[in-house]
Amino acid sequence: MKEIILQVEDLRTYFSTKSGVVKAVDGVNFSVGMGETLGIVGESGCGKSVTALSILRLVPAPAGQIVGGKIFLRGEDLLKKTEKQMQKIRGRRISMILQDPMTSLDPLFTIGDQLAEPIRIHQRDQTTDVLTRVREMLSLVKIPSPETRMNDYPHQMSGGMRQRIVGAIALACQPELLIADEPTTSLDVTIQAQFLSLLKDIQDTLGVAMIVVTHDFGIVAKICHRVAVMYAGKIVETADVKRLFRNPTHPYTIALMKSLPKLGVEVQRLFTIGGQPPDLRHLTKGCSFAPRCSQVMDICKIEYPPQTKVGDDHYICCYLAGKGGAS
Amino acid sequence: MQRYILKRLAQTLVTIWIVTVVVFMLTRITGDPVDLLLNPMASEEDRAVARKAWGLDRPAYIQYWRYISGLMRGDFGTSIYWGEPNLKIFLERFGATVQLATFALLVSAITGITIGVLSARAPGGKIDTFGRAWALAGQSMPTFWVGIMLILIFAVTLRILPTSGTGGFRHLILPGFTLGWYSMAAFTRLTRSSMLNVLDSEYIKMCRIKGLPERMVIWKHAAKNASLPILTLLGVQFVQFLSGSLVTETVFAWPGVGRLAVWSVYNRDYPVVQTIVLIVSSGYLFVNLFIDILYAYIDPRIRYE
Amino acid sequence: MFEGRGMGGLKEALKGIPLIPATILVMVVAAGLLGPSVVPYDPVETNLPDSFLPPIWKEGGRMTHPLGTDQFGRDVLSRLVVGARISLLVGCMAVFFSGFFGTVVAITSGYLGGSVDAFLMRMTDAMLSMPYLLIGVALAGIMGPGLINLVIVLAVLGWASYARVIRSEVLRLKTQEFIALARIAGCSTVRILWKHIFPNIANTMIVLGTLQLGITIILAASLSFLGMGVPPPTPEWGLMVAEGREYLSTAWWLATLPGTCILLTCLAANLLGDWLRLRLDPKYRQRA
Repeated sequence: MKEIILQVEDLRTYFSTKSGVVKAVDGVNFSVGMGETLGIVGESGCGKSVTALSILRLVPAPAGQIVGGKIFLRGEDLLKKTEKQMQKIRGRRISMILQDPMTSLDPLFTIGDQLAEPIRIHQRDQTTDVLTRVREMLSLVKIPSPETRMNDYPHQMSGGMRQRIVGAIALACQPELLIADEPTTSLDVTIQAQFLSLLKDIQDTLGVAMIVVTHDFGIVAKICHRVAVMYAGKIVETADVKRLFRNPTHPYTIALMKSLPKLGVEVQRLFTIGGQPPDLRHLTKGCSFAPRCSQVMDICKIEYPPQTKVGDDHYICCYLAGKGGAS
Repeated sequence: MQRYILKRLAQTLVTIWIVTVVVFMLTRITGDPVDLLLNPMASEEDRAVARKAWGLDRPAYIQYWRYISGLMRGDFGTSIYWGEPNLKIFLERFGATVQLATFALLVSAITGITIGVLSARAPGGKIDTFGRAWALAGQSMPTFWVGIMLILIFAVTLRILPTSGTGGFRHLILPGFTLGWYSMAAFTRLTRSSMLNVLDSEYIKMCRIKGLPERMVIWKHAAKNASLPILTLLGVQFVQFLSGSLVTETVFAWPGVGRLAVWSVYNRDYPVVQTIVLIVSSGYLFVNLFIDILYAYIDPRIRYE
Repeated sequence: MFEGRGMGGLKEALKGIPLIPATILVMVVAAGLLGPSVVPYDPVETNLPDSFLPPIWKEGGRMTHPLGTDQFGRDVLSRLVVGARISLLVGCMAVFFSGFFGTVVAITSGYLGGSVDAFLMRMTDAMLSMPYLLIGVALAGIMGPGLINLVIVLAVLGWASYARVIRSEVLRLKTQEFIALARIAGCSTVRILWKHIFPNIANTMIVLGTLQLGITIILAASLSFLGMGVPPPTPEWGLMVAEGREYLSTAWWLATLPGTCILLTCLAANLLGDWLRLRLDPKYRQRA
C-alpha cells in the first residue's frame, strides 16, 4: 500500500462577490499517494484550479477564503499552519507549475537567479553549492548548455523552454508533491507531448507525487494513474484511470467522454452536453448536474447524493450507483 | 544597447531642433519683433536703428542661422533689461530653482510612493481611501492657492514658518511643499496602480508558490517591476517643477528661474524668455533620454530589441 | 452613446451619477448662465466706504454682503458668481478648441500613418516636452491680456495631450475588423472616418474633455494670477486670489474664497470625469 502524501477532506473554498457567495470548491475529498499522479478533470469554472491553490493556501484573499475542511500533508493539517510555516512548505514540500509560461517568470531577472531563489531560501543550511544545483536542475529538464542559459532572461526563450524552467524551479528543492495547473494548455501541440513525457520521467526518477489539473482527457490518459472528475465545485467520480476510460459510471463523466471526438469514428455532429454549467452563486438543492442529466430522477433534485463505492477504488456521487450503475 | 542609445539620442536632438524653431518663432508670430522689443511709442527711425542693430532686417532664415550658430557657441543672446548675457542671468538663478525642485521632488516622491505602496497592499482599506481622496484633492487645487493657503496657515496664523524669501531650511519648507503638492497626488496614483498591476501578475504568484518570504516578493520582484513607470514620472516631474516653479516662486518671492521668467515676460525681455524656454525644454528632453537609458538598463527586454 | 432611447435612455444613462459633484457642477453652470443677471451688485463698480467687510459669519459681517467685500468695496459673492461664468466660458471654449484640433491631428496621424504620422508625432512630442506654463506665460505675454487671447493660449497648450491619447485609440480601432470590412464594402476614407472611427472615439473625447476641464480652469486661473490672463477689473477667480494676496493677514477671505471655488469646480469635474470613464468605457459597460 502506497504511502499517502496528501489527504484532502471536505475542502470548501468560497468567494464573496457583490452578487453573492460563489462556492467554488464545495466539499471535495481525494488523496494522492507517493509516486502517483492524480488527475483532476473538469470543464472551465468547475473549481479545479481553486482546489489546487487551496492546497497551497494561495487563494486570493480577502474575497476568497477556505471556509472548511482539512488538508493533510503526511498527516499534518495545512489549514492549521501559520503563514510563516506555509512559506516553508511552499516550494519545499509542495510545489506548483502554472499554466502560462509566458507570464510565470519575472522578466527582469535571469532564469538562473529565479531558479536559485527557492534553493537559497529553503536549503540555506545545507552545503549544496547553489550553482551546481541550478545546473543539475536545468539538465534534469533537458535544457541544453545550462552554463550559458543560466544567464539568459525569460524573453530570450521559447514557451516550451520556459515551461521546462518553471518545472525545474518547482522541483529544485525536491518536493513531496507537485501540482501542475493546466501545464500544457498554453504550449504548442508538438511541445505538449514532450513536456508530458518529461513530467512522467521526472516522476519515475524522483518519486514525487503529482496532481495534474486539466480539462483534457488526453493528458489524463497519458500520465495519470488515478482521476477525479469535478463538476460545479464537487468531485463526482474518482477512479483508477483505466477503469474510468473503460467503465465511466457517473452521467457527467459518460457525457464528457461522449463529447470527445474519437480517431477513426466519423460523426455528423459532435456530441455536446445540453444546458449550461450552474451559477455557483445560486446552487440548487440536490445534485448540481440534475438539470442536465439524461437519467435524472426525483430524488436527485432533493438531496445531493452521497459518495458510493461502485467498484475497486471507484467511487461516484450519484443515486444511480445502487441501481447497478448508469447506462 | 548602444544602438538603442544612439537612436534615442538622435530623436532627442531632432526634437530639440524643433524646439529651437518654435522658440525662434515665438517672438515673430504676432508680427514684427521690434514691436515687442521697443517701446510702442518709438519712432520709425528708432525702429530702423534697432532693427539693424539686432539684425532683424535680414531674411528670417539668416536670422535663424545666426541664432543657431550662436547657441552652439554658448551665446544665447543678451538681455534687454539687464544688458548682460542671457545665459549668465539664467545660471545665476538656476541654483535656487534646482534647490527648490529637488526638495519638492524628494517630498512628493517619498510621500507619494509610500502611500501608493501601502494603498496597493491593502486596496479598499483605510490608507487606500485616504490616499485616493488626498490624491484627488491634490490634483484639483491650483498651486498658487496651495501656496497662499499654506502661508495663511503656517506663516500668518501659526507664525511658525517664514512667509517668503530664502535663508535657511525653514524657508524651503512651504515653497517646497507647494511645488510638490500636485505631484504628490501623481506619485500616489501611479504607484498604486503600478503596484496593483504587478501584484496581480502570474510571476508574483509564482514567487509566493516558491515560498519566498513576503518582503522579498514585494521589495525584490514587485518593486522592481513596478518601478519603471515611477522612474519616468520622477524625471517628468522634476522638469515640470522647473515650469511649475513660475507660480511658486512668485508666491514665495523665491529668487529662481521661475520668477525670472515671469519678470521677463512682464518687462518684455524676450531674449531671456527664449533662453529659459530653450534650456528648460532641452533639459526635459535630456532627462527623458537619461531615464530611457536607465529603463533599458533595468528591463532587459528593451535592450535586446 | 445613449442609443436613441429618448427620455428613458437619458434617465438610464444618468443612473448612478455621483450626486455631490453633479450638484456642484450644476450650481456652477447655473451661476455662470444666470448669475450675472441676478447678482445684486455690479462686480466691477467700486464702493470704497464699504471696503473690507468680512463675511457674514464673522464679527462685523453684514447680511447685505454675505461673503464680504474687497479692497474696493466690491461684493465678493457677486464677483464669484460672475467669475464662474468667466471660468466656465474660458474653460469650455479652450477644451473645445484644443479637443477639436487635437482630434483632427490624432485622426489624421493615426489613420493615415506613415511619414505624416511620424511628423505629427514629433511635433506633438516637442509640444509636450516644453514646459507648458512657461510657454503659456510667454505666449500670453506676447499676445497681450484678454479673454480671447487666453482661450487661444490655453487651446495651444492643450491640444497635444488630446492628440496623443486619441491617436492610440485610433490606432487600436484601425486594426479591428469592422474597419477592414467597411473598406472592402467600398466606403470612402471620409465616410469611414465619420461613420465608424469618430463615434467610437467620441466616448474617449468626452471623458478626456471632462478631465481636461479641471486642468484648464486651473491653468486659466494660474495665468490670470500671474497677470497674464484676464485683465482687471474682470472678476476672474485666479485674478481675485492674486488681488487678495496682499491682504492675507487682514482680509483672508479675499484670497481664500475664490480659490475654494476653483477647488470645488475642479473636484466636481474630476469626479464626474472619473464616473464617466467608468460608465463609458466599453470594458466596464459589459460587466454592468
